[in-house]
Amino acid sequence: MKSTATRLKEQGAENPRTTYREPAVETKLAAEVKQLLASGQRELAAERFEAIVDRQQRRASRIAYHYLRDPAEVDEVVQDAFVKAFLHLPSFREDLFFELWFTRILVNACLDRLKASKRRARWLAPSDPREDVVAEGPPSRDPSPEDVLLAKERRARLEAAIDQLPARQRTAVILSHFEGRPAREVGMIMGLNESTVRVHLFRAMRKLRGFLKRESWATRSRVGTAEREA
Amino acid sequence: MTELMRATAATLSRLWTWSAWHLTDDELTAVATGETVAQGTLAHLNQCQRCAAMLVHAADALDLLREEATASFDKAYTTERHQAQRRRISHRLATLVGTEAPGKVIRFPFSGRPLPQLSARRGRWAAMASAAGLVIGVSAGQLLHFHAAPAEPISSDGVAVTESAQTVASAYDMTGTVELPPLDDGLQHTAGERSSLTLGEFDELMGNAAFLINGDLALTSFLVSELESIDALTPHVGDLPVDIR
Repeated sequence: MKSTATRLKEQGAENPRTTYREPAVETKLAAEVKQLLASGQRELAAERFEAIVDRQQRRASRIAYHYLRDPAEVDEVVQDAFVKAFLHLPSFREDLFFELWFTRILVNACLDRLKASKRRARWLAPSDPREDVVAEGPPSRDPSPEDVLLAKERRARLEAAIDQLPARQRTAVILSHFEGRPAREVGMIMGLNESTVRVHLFRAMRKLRGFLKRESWATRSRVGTAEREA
Repeated sequence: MTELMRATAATLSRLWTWSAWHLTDDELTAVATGETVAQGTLAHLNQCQRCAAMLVHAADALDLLREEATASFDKAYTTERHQAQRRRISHRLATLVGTEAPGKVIRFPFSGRPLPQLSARRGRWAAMASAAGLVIGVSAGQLLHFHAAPAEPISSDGVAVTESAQTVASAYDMTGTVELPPLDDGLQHTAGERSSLTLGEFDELMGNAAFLINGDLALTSFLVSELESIDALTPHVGDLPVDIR
């Protein structure tokens, strides 16, 4: 996967996210499963649906993980989303992308679970964060313990920064930036128009700038210094 | 001449502004995230080395954001977990279409014998019998409570003491005194203890007696059983034999 900087250099200022995507294999498979379900061939439909699961499972787990950060909860949400998609396939419209339709089911399930876990968290005492360090296991030699710790801290900061975003901004960042979806598709998933998605994404990036400044954006000062020296 | 000077000044001003202008953080973020970019911004990026360098750094920062998120997922979500999840999804789909039986529910408490299964008809009868029993029980309880309330105080031997004593006292008003019988409780009584009372004192005594008898009744009822130990230490005035001449 090319980096953003490389893409920008290669493509100049062209927006790489607005290119139209051809209907995916999943959509064709979903249409086929829908027909099988309509003709009463449920077993065959389930078999064909498993091909969709094979293609979408990892991506679905990744999206759910960005929301939930707990592998056990991710398991449950992804399972539920696939089962729900299979049950509701008769109402699936072939003119839409299956991937987007399924992602919408998944994102809604993740947001519902987040709300439920927040309600539960009100009644639970916070655990000691040092427990995680102990549960890390024996330290490996490569990379060094300091690097591991720094990376862990950086991830924790990133996760905390993303957790603080409102639900729509968070969804916009996850789908648009982490999953590389164009604003048009994100808008279809979120039920918003393209420009509104851009606004959410922009506001989210503005809020995440605190994290970015600490990590890399801070190199601005070095750029400025080098410029002055030159 | 004046117009030429004005045009020159405007051109110089525009050139100065162009050289001093740089992209803001927001604009850089918008470009780095692939959002819609104005033509002026693009032209500036092509000419300004500083902003171009900052754009590369902003893009690197965003890549870092994505890499961190992906690394976090890869670390937490192992291949084994992925495969286990796949198996569970397949099982749930197979259960849905009926090719696999649903998971067996473990019985608790554990027992070798199968639990008795109530048929719908039998269960309905049981529910109706329970409801009827409840209604009858509540009604009977209400009726008993209504009839059990005493109309007047009754002594421990079943005689309405207050009324009978007052009737006797009101009927007997010839000497103006009431003579009390000697107490046969086996104790030595002092000479100061009186054996006769005036009618006024007798009325007062009977009023006190009525109060104490009501207390006795309250003590013997189920509501104040906690006071029975105190009652055992207290003489019952209602039990005293009173001989009125």
